[in-house]
Amino acid sequence: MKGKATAVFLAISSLAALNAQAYDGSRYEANADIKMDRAKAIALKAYPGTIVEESLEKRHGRLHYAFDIRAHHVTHEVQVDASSGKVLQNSRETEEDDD
Amino acid sequence: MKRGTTSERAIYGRVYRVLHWGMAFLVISALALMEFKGFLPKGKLKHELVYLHMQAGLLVFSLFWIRLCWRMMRPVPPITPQPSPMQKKAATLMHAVLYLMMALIPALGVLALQSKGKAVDFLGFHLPVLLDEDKWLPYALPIRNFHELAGDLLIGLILFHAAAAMLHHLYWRDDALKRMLPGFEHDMKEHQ
Ligand code: HEM
Repeated sequence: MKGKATAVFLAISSLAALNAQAYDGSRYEANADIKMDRAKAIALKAYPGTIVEESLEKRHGRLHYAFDIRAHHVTHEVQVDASSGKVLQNSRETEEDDD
Repeated sequence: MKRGTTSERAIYGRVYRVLHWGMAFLVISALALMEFKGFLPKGKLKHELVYLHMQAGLLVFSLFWIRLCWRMMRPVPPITPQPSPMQKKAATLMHAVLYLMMALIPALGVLALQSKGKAVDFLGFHLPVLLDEDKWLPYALPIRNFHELAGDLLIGLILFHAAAAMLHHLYWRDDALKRMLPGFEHDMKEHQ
């Protein structure tokens, strides 16, 4: 019985682990030319501060990284194209894209 | 093992059962809102879902303390027929972890937001700020990741907990599950 229960527990925990991701959208990472570390560096150059949210998102078939970067009590949403590395957006976060 | 007679058998008190199922509903709602959120584009609706998520989680956090007191003050009705000592130990450990998660996860949720300078509302009131953003900003993302990881782990724990309840009921055929259900007050003594 002990063995069976352990097996069930391991199976369920690994399901939970699969559901957990390194960051939101990391399942797309293999398809992104620019990797997270590069994208972060680009975003921080566009708006120096502390990254408080990071994700890889797909819109209209294209991938982009989205960061919330906070500096001096102001948060910017900075988006970086995942294939060209271009900064797509760098503007003050609105109430709605806030979480 | 001899089956207990009606008079020896007992179920959880009504208050504890309501707390159990009420909080189960709130925790599952909090989790479901987050899973559902993933399918939505950024915008007002998504924002509302996250707000509801926080309110459900904060209700869990509040009820947790009442439940903990209740649990510590009342005897736990025994299971008939009795499980093995190993099973009892495993169950106690599992329940302790579930209790820990009910307090830890919502607390991390609040701290994740406060550390990046966000005010957190509960039922229309601002919660006191526990972490000053000027000091804690670098930890905002790690705290948030920890919150999410613990939440994902909780999904596994809940599934395991529910599977164990079903095993007790269907396979071992004891009264572990019945103790937590409504409708058995007549043939089993209710622990107040
Ligand atoms: C029962 C309590 C709670 C559980 C089980 C829970 C669980 C989770 C999970 C699993 C996620 C990750 C969703 C994902 O993978 O994208 C999440 C995200 C989040 N939680 Fe909680 N949480 C709880 C309470 C709270 C509380 C009390 C707050 C704050 C007051 C909070 C704030 C957040 C925030 C801000 C996010 C990120 C939302 C986003 O991605 O936009 N949570 N929570």
